[in-house]
Amino acid sequence: MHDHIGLHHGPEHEVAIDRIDPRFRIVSIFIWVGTAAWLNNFYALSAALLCCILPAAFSGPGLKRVLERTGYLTLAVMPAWLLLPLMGGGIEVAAAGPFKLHASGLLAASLLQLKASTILIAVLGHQGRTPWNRWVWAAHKLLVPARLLALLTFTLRYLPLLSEESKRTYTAAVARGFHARANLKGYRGLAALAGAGLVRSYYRSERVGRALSARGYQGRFFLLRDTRAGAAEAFFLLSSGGAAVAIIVLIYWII
Amino acid sequence: MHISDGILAGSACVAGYVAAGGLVAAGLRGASQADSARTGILTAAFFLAGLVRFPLPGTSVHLLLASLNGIALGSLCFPSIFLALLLQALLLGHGGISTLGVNMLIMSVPAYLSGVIFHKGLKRGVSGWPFFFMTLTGVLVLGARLLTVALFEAGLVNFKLSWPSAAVWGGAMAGIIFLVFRFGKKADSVHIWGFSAGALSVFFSAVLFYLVLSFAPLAAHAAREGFVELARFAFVFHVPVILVEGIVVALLVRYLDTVTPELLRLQKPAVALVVMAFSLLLLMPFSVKAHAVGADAYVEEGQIIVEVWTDGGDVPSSGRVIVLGPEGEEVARGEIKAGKWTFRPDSAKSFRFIVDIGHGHGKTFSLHPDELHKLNKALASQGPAKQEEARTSPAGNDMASQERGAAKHESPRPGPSSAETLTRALLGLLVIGMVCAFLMLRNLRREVDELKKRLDKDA
Repeated sequence: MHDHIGLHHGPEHEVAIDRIDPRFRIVSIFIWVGTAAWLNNFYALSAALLCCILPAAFSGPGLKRVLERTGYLTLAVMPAWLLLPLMGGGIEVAAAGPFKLHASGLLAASLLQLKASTILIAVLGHQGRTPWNRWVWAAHKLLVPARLLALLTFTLRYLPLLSEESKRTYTAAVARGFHARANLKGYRGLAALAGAGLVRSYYRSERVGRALSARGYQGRFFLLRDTRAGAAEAFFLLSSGGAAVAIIVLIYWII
Repeated sequence: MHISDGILAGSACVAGYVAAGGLVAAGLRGASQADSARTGILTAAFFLAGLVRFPLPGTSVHLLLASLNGIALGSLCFPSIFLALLLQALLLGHGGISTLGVNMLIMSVPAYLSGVIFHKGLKRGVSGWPFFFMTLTGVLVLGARLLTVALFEAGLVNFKLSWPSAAVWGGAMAGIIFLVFRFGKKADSVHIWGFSAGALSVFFSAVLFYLVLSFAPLAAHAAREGFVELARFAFVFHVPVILVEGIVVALLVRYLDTVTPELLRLQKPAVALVVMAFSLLLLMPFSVKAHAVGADAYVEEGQIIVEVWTDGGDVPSSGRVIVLGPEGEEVARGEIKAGKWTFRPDSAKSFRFIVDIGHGHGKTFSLHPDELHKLNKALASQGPAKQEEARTSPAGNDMASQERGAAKHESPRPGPSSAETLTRALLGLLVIGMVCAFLMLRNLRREVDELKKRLDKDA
């Protein structure tokens, strides 16, 4: 979990994209999310996916992680793959008994997969190995409310911690002979486990809240390292936006 | 129940973000920095609690537990759920980035409402049983109706429950579960309100999911019918989740109320209700269109041509027509192709046509007397020889004859009349009422006996 949210990466693990000011990367992410959400052409979306997958594979999380995430995403899109080809009208591609696969449904499912993959990989590619505190600082500079960011920071900080704690609690319960069954007793046991986790988190949150107040926390975010926008950022934003515009031009004026 | 990227049109995504922004702002209004810290940690805890898998016979489900968020955090549940969904999209690939606003509305609005229901119910000291019964009935009626419609359209069963029949079946099931809960074991009001809040939260989320996929503008490539079917299946599959979530939230709330009652009292005043109403309205105006079906039949060269259209001027690509005779017997049935279907009758009768283009859109109408007269004339002019030829010719009437053949094996299904439906509904309600009355009397008798015993002891 730490690895997922980038808490263990220091400056020594930085990749090329981490040197770009995260504010510019957030703007670039929005450009690509908007472009992918707007495009409806198979070729244009394939081009957009390629544009996102190459930087993601070489500069940020690596090809293995990109494929792993795309696999998770495919699981989420699976109902669409299973149902849309059976329900769409038009030309039949294949038939097996009462089930008929339609070309329009297959195209709709593939466009859906392409769009979702492009957006996810665009985010992964821009993420690099930048720690979350820099992202939060950038979002704060881009006028995202400080309270919301504080909430995000605490969620990210305590997510791995509580995850490990809940695993330990569950293991302890299993060691004492607990076995989750599909009956009221099983549900009561699981509810008590989840409840115990919530209660512990609540007391911890109270302590943390009091400690923060005592230290004069006012919800402002500071960075120890200097972050200034320069020529590299301008070049990055221009090339990212230019690629997105080129794909749109390709669709509307060439294809 | 998350909508992935690429399904909704850009306008719906923007509207979702605007509405979600309003709700998040309303949720954060008046929250202190300490509240942010506490909410952040609890968001992480809720996120993890939602990942716990609860077993069901043959499978297991992970619960949403959004209602618990609404119960504990009140209007702070909006930013909390927004962040939880953002993390799910980024870390697990569930949901989407462009659809984050809409997904947040689908999850958080019911969560907030269920929190309000829980606290109002407990505060007023209402026992919660009528609410419990209504919740169960709503879930089961909608579940029964959608399940049979989905199975019917998939061709797995040859019937679908009408709304009144679904009401009777769902009501009867809810009545039985209600009685088991009410008299089987003593459940207190925290249990009952907890169940109602948990079940309603998932129920309304499923309904909102269905409504968004049915009415919000979709991306150009996304076929509305396919996604409506998807939403319908999602709802049907979530019926057991709704019930399990209700039970688990009831148990969890009972546990929290005993161990840390202050955890259930964190919520801020209901500042978000007005914003929430406006946010939902924001999603509405894009494509709320009535799909009224228009259909008519006319006679041409001894054939009846049925034409079907929708009020938007579109022609349905598929659908079916059932032709009934004067006695209600099925004469023929066929598939609509490009908004038309042709049928060559043997004799001129006052036919009734039932048109069904799916998703509950249909129309029933009779052949106009002028057209009947035209048909009479056309058949008379053809003469018996031509009619015989038309009947036996494979090109002339092959579709209708094949369908008539098929119809012999299928029982004609003209829908029940309204009086029949009303009688069935009343009968169902009467049965439920009688069972309720019997068990209530039994319970009353038991209580009187206990009272008598106590009085004897005191004496």
